[in-house]
Order: sequence, then C-alpha cells, then structure tokens
Amino acid sequence: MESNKVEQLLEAYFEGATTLAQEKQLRTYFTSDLVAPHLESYRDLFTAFAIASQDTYDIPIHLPKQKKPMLRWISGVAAVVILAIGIATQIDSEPDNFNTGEYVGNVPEEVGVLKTKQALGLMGKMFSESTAQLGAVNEFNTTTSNFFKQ
Amino acid sequence: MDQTTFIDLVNPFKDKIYRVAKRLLISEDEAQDATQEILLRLWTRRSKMKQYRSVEAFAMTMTKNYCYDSLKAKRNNNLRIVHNNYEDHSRNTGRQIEASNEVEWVYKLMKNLPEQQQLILQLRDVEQFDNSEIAAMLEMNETAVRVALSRARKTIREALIKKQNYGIQ
Repeated sequence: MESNKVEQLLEAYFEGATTLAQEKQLRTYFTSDLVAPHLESYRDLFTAFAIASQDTYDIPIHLPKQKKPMLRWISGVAAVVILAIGIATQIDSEPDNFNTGEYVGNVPEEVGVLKTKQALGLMGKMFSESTAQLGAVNEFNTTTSNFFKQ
Repeated sequence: MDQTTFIDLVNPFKDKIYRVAKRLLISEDEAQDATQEILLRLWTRRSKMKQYRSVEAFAMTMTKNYCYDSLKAKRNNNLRIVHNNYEDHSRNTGRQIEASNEVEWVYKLMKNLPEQQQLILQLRDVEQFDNSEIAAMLEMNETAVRVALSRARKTIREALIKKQNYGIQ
C-alpha cells in the first residue's frame, strides 16, 4: 500500500470514520516490514492491537455439577428424620415430670436404663410412623420438574 | 442444556471476555477470576439464554458491568489503603520496567484512558466488533461510540507523536 493512501486511512481512522475492513488493512500494513519511516511511530499501536487480540483464556471452565433428582430425595428424607427426632425429644421431655415418681427407691443406673429404653422406644415409633409418610416426598420431585425445564 | 453444549456455546467468545477483563482490570489473575465468574453467571442463566439476540453481546455487557463494579470496589479499597500503605513503591518500579517495552507502553497509554474509552477501543480495535454491536453491548448510541472511539485514538496518537518528537529533539 502506498504511504499517501495509508496517511489518508490513518486520518480517517483517528476520526473514527474507517470501516472494520479498512482498519484491517491498516493493521496488516503496520505489522509488515514495509512501514514508511515517517509512519514508524504508529507501528507500535497496531502491533499492540494485533498482539492483544492473540491472548487466550486456556483455563478449563469449572461449572457446578448439575443437581441430580436423587439428591433432592435424600434431602427430603433428611428433613423428615430431623423433624422426627425433634418431635420425639419434645414428647420425651414431657412425661419426664410425672414418671419420676415410679422410680423412687430404684438405683440411679436402673432409672437411667429405663429412661433410655423409653426414649428409644418412642423414637423408634416416631421413625416408623414418619417413614410411612415418605411416599409423599416424591411429590416434591414431580412438582419441581414443572418449574425447572432444562 | 448440558455442560458440553454450554461449553461449545461459550468457547468462541471466552477469550474475548478474558481480554476485555484484562484490559480493564490490570492483572491477569483478576481477569481470570472475572472470566470464570462471568461464565458461571452465564451458566446459571442458561435457561433464559434463548431470549437474547446474541449470547456473545450479552456476555460482553456482563463483562463490562462486572469490571466496572470490581474497579469501583477497588477504588474504595484504595482510599483506605492510602493512609497506611507504604510498600507500593516496589510495584511501581515493576510497572516501569514492563513499560520500557514499546508495545507495553501502548497498553499503558490505553490504561490511562477513561474506562469507557478503554473498553470501546478494546472492543473495536482488538476484538473488531462494529460500532452498532458495541453500542448495544454498552447500552449507548452509535454516535456516542464513534465520538468516544475517536477521542481514545486521538489521545493515544498525541502521546505517540510526543514520544517521537522527544526522541528527535
């Protein structure tokens, strides 16, 4: 490219009036070895653009694992179990007051064993009651699938 | 949309996100974090992606917003650091050494431009988007993009000419 044409293009370039194709011409010219001496100072500019456009992002993209339906099911069960434990301990603490009378005269260890048995029995009952309700948990999956269409 | 489809979709422009972030944010580490974060945000919005005319343009707008926010946060931090931080000198000398390279010097000139001009110059002269695309990405009108672009280029030209004259005289 003749240097007067380059000068014209440069003038338009600084006015923001060049097209992308003309800018490409400028870039090609200034990254070649044939730059006219009086235009030498623009070489760095276009070289800088050319180098900058070669930068790449090579780091593998980390995406969070997609939640599987199994996980939702397990969290549902966990919630029920925690609820059951909560209710069981609540109920367990109530009879504490009037039951104390029965154990008067008993050895403290025996009282302890009896109380533990009682508590475990209650918890077991609650568990079997609550697991019977687990079928309802599946309902969560069917309703959410209406919202999250992927 | 599964992960492979998503990665195929973002692959053509992930480098652009990174380069634009790097232009605005200075350090490569920050730019890498920004890219990762922007891709993650795109991933969480993948179900809505069909609504956007161009995912690439949308990603660029996100990049702009992310970088502006992060620069704003950094400026706020710097204000606090000014009072009790005296170890910054070592970093300055590091930057001067980098700038001794001529091309690095051009990047430094770009860094001195207002943020919006940096961004427009990067999108136009490095990424080669046309003005209407840039206008959509930056939520401005096309004339304003052209004016800002011309200003950015002229500022750099002045510095280049000044440097050349300095060498001669």
